[in-house]
Amino acid sequence: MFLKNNKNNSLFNNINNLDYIEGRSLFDDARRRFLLNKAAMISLLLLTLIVLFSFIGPFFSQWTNEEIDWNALGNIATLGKPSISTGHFFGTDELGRDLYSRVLQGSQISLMVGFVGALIAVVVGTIYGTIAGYFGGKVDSIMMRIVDVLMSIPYMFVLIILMVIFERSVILLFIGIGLISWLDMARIVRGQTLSLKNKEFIEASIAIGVKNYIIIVKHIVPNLLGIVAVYATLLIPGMIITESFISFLGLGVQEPLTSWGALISEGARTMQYGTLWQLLFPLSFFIVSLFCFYFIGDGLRDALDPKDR
Amino acid sequence: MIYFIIRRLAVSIPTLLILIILSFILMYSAPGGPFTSERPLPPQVLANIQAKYGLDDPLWKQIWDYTYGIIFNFDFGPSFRYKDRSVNDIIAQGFPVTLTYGTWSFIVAVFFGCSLGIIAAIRQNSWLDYFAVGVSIGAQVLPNFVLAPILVLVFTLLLGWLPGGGWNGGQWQCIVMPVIALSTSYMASIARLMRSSMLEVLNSNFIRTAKAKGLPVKLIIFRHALKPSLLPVISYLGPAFVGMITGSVVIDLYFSTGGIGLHFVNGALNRDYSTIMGITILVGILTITFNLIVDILYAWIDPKIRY
Amino acid sequence: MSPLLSIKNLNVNFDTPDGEVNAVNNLNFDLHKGETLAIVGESGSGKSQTAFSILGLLSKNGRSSGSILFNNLNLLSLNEKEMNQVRAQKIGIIFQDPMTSLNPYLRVSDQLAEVLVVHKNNSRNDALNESIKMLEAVNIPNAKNRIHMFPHEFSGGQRQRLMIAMSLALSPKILIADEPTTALDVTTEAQILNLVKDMQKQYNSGVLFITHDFGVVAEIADRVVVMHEGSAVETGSVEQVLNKPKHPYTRSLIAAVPSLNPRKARSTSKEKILEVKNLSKSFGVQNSFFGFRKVNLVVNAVNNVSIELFSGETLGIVGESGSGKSTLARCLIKLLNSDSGKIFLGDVELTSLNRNEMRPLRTKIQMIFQDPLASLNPRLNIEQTIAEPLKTHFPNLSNNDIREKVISAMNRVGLKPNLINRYPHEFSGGQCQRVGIARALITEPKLIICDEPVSSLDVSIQAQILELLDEIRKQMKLSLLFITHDLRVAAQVCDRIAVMQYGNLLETGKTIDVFKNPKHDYTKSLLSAVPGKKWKKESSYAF
Repeated sequence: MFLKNNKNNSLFNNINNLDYIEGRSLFDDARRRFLLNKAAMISLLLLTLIVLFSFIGPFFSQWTNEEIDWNALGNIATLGKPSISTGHFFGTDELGRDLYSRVLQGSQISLMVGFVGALIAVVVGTIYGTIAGYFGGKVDSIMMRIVDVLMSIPYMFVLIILMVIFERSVILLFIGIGLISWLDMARIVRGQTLSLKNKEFIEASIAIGVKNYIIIVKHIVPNLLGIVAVYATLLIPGMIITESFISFLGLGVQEPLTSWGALISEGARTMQYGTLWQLLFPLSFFIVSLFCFYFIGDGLRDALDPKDR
Repeated sequence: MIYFIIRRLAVSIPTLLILIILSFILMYSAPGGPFTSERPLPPQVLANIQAKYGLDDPLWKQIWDYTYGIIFNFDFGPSFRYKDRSVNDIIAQGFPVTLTYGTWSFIVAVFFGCSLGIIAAIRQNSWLDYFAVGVSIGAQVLPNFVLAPILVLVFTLLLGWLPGGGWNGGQWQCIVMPVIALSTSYMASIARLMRSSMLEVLNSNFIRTAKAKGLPVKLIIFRHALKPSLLPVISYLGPAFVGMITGSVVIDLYFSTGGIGLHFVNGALNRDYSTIMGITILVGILTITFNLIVDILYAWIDPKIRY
Repeated sequence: MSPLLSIKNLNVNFDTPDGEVNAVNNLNFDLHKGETLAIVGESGSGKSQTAFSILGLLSKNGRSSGSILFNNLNLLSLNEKEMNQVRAQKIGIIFQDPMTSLNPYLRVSDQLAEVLVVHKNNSRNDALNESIKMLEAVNIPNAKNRIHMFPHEFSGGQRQRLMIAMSLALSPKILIADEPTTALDVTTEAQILNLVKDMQKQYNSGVLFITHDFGVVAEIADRVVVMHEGSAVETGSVEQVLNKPKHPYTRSLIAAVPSLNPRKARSTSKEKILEVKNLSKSFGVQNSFFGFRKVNLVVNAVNNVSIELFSGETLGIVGESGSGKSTLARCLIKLLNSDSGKIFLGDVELTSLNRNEMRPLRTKIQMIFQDPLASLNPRLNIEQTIAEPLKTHFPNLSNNDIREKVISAMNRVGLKPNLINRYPHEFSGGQCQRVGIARALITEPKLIICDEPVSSLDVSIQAQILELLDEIRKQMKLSLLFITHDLRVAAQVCDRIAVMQYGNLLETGKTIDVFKNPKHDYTKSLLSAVPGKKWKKESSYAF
């Protein structure tokens, strides 16, 4: 393995003839493991289908989401059933509105709340946690105390209060839900940053003279991505559940917009009249999507950190 | 250990004060409330509030009165909506209900969750393990507001075994479905946490030492492995508790049990600010107290944290 | 006399996602009563797995076959219940890392007493008294009170004594020791080795001692089994294997062990490349909430240390854990800010410089770290890692220039240039350390601080890396500050050494002088504690 110095030049001249062995980064390893995980891959496929369906599906609907079908009104139990002929593929709700377009529109809102909320949580939480963890000392103490205090506040209640005070709007919903979970993400990121900070490769970079912000961006953040990605995927279903919960109570998105929570709530109320489709369609979308998110999150976790299951 | 408790208390108290003050300021700045110049409330309610808060006093005095009232007299003030009831009345009516089914839900979630998790870990990769993991995953996508209608569909409409709602002074038939609906998703999370935590502990060096000492399996699991395995579960109990209290809102709404959750939602819809603030603060107090207990429990198990 | 333990055709395999991995291959050896048999080998040789398979402690995916005969029983054919009658009562075991091998959540009294309660049916009180006696037998002071404490309240050496007490409580016929002193300081190691020897005489048991350290083998073993990649390559008495090894692998392994015979100091220039005057650094362990700090404990990590390093020489800083040598290194390269004192790199005084002023000087002073894999960012490939100093200090270099320099550095450290796109986890420990060295020398520094650079490496790789360092030192006319706890390495590598303890610099001098005539008592105890010092061997390499 020892190559003496005098061979240096000739070897260098032969560089272009050598086969460069492609390296296998940790990301490549993780991706390979993920692709082999059947449950995760199926979930990814299913979820992609659901997302596509939510956004492209409405082009095929024959009714808008607020139009009332006067023909069906008055006898929803028989006339509101799902059928191809009436154009109500999923049937109608109790007010005669087309459930197909309502479910799809609700899917759009719920999914977007999930993704946007998780995005806010990730961005805010990562920045906050990295700063607290990297700079440590007083900065860290104060920042984490603030997090501790904020964690004791029953967020759901505060969010509902804010929705009541400041009028219900979709934007407020997005931001509010995102702000609930950044605390958890900040804690996790801070913990990871702390343990990374003490690793020798960070010491090596400091000893080389690399500037602080470059260390954070080039050395710390890439090594955080794994755990952040896993938690983000597990956050999304949490956000969706939170939003659905608020909508179920009637405090979420305003009519005529709807979401899975609101649809489930309506469907649950009319269950006893035999209009089960009003519950089952939104419920299925909800449950299947959540399943997919959990399997993908689990798959990511196993891919990035394989342990005995 | 005592020093540890005192330190934790010292953080909790300012947290509580901040919560109360923030709530009051929110209430103060809310549009359409008595603190703004419109004051559209019925005169008797206004009179109550005037008497309680001294609406023309400077802000800091109002905050002081409010905080003082809560901490020392446990008095949350009059309702903004009902002229003859104070927030305390409303809370007193709803709290015992929530406490009852909430406590049961918590016990069920922890007991069954831990048992399921431990069994799954000990019998890893057996059919029991797969069943437990499957149930956990399944239950996690069934939050309370999803499970509640399904339960009613099955047990009330189809089978007719249980009433679809009401409280009836705490009759057991009225408690069953609320408890199942509330506890299930948390039981699943606890089971998964317990399982993965115990699996990790069972692979650790000190369990290998315990095996090398020739100890019987039961002793290894219950004396050596259980305590450290519980640690992540205990950390989870805080958020689980908060989640269950929040979830009680759905339970009250759907099963008409009449706990504080219901009063909260009604208050929200009716703009009864003092009630919703009061309930929020109450929940905050419960959360802080519970987190304190959880922290102490954690330190009791892990001797390294105590000092 | 028939052997106490007889291993025949032992095979141990593991089911992994990548297929079946063989750890032990057709192993045969015997252990006799009253003898200490050492199993020696490098990492991956299968020695620990052999020990585990004797007591059925393999992880779930391990399968063993063959026969392990003890008391006319084949231990491999016993079920759990029968095995539990053998464990602790007939065969005891102590492990490598006492911190993780003791249950941190249970009191020592519980962990010790339960062995007696479970196997001898003692009452709790009797078991407790018996345990206290055992603690006293292994020299734990104040055993009566301390027995109720938790493991983390004991020192590393004491924890290992606890393990020994626990394993000998039932007077087993065989004690298996799996690298019990690897994680301990050399003075503590000497105490533990003596303890094991005493216990063996007292109980007349057989000891199976697993280690990678030939010095330890020389110190305590009667017979030796040398393992390599799962097989036994040589077996014999200690005198024969250590002094007249037959198998080529044994020969190369023994040749790689540095001799305790110190080297002569090389001639150096009079120019001082590094001067440290009265350097001090202390840490306070604090409790703080809301900014109110209460200092509980003040640790003087480095206490008034002064050293000089001349151009071209290798100065060793020798000490045990807690001596302050790592803290000193980090203060010198300004990873930590010292509390007082001055550091001169050539003419420039470093302590008063701020981060920006220090930056350009960092091309002249670089560092190599102890854990080769941890010192590389797992997300960057080799080229990016080695190029980082260039990008930091010479941002105007073109990518082609950078690549040229990286390849030239890789050649210098013996890495094939076509590995340039690989990632750290694809390399062995030795290769990772070569990358670290390449990164350190790419800015052509004058001084390299080596913080225990070979401590985590197998002895054969250690020899290669030490040779590499020496070659580079000669080629690039470097000065080295070499930090180590291993006196054998210090003897072969350093021209002069400085001995540290508890933050204090106790004595300095030419290696050959300090070894032959140590002045300070601590240096004397350090030198006498090195295992295997009676074993006369010369190194295969003399720089």
